[in-house]
Amino acid sequence: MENALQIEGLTKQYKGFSLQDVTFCIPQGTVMGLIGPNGAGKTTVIKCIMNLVRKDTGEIRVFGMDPVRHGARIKERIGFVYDMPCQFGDVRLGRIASALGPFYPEWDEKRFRDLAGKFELPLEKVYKKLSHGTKTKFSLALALAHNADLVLMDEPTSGLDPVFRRDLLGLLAEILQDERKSILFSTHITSDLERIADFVTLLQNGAVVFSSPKDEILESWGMIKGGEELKPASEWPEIRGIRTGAFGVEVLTSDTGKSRKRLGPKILIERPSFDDIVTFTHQGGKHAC
Amino acid sequence: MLAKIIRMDWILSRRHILLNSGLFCLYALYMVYRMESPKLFSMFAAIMASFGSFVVLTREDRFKAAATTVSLPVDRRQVVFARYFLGWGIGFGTLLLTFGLAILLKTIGAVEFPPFTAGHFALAVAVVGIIVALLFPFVVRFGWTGLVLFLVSLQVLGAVFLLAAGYGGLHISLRAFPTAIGSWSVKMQQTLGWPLFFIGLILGLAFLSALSVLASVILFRKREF
Repeated sequence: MENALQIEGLTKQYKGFSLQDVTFCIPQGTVMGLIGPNGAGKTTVIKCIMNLVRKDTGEIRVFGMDPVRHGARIKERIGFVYDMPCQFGDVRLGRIASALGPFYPEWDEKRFRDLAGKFELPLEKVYKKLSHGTKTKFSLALALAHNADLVLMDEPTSGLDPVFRRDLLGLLAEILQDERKSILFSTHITSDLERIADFVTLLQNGAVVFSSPKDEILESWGMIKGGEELKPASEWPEIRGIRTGAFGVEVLTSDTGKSRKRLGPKILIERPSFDDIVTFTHQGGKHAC
Repeated sequence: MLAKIIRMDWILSRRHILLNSGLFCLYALYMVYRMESPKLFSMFAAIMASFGSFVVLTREDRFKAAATTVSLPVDRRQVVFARYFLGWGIGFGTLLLTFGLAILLKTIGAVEFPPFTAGHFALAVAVVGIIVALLFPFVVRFGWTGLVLFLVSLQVLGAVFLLAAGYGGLHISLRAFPTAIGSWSVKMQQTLGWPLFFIGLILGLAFLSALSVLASVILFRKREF
């Protein structure tokens, strides 16, 4: 399977933050969820792909091409939703779409109108009068109206109500019926990912914690619940986080098989949510709270 | 692609382009009543006209929409080229409109304007070209803030010179530089004659503009969003 996107050893240094050796790929026809807490580097990765910021080192290939050298050709095939959608605030939505549409060879005006109807976009209203959620919907309509082969979405569901979020996930699933289409979906609402992602990459403090198929992660990672007998777990290499609370001890393991061997078959291991994984790993792993 | 970018800018900013240019043009015409010197009028009209050249860039900066522009399938170099073409178009268009209206009003006898010559128009064109060339890289790199900072810095520098001249005994005439350029231009025009002088002026402007475009492309390519 060809990769729609391939990133290897990507680094970017800012004052007080750096992306460190970020490596992952998105095979064609799949959805990659990019998760991590705020400030983990998700937006920076997406900006590097879009060449909105310059990488320091590493390699990015989109459809096998370098986005710096072949930016325009690549962007024709990308649908992009920015985390802070910004347009000329005093211009009507319909006019903005008519200005931006012709840049894309496969711009489909009918598709845009359909999406605008579906998303209940007020095309006669000026951009600045919209709520954050409606601005995001407008960005989504623009991104999905030109038959993009790769849809890059930076926190598209933040600010959206649950009903629309569910509709959007349905729409993305529709897009993926075409096996050439791929999606990179950055979010901190991890429940959305559990519905549609094929692969998940977790970023923490600018570094990749894991980048694997979603099912593989949910199979191998586990949440062990117990009591004092779990205290020594902090020394085990597969343990990614421990939380001690009023109801006992919770331990996040990245290798349920190994942990089960250590603790015996009777130990209770539950399937963790991505929220659990993000929270536990964000707390620096083995700190109790 | 250039045409698409210019079309986009026109669609997104045409109301402001027309409004600004119209206002600058009317203001320049109004000021004519107070100016007896056609040279001064040409300079003033050119300065007002050149401000219109920055409308798209400053609006984009105001709405932080540059990230959207560079995420479109366009090369940043093309974005800069398009902005220059549109900027020149707006600047020279406004200038043409101002002179045209001035001539019309003078012809129908509505207003007594100072007598213009082709030289005055050439001077105004040169001033627009120079202002655009000097300020564009600042606006491309730093947006509206850059333009304001640049202009404020010039004002502060001027004030410092005036203070230094007034209180510090510094003998620098602020008029010396433009006066020297003016007398040099007149001398060149007399030596070369109009056609050659005009060609030289155009070539000089083209060279300055090319340097400005080059600087803007480099700055815009380095800009992060």
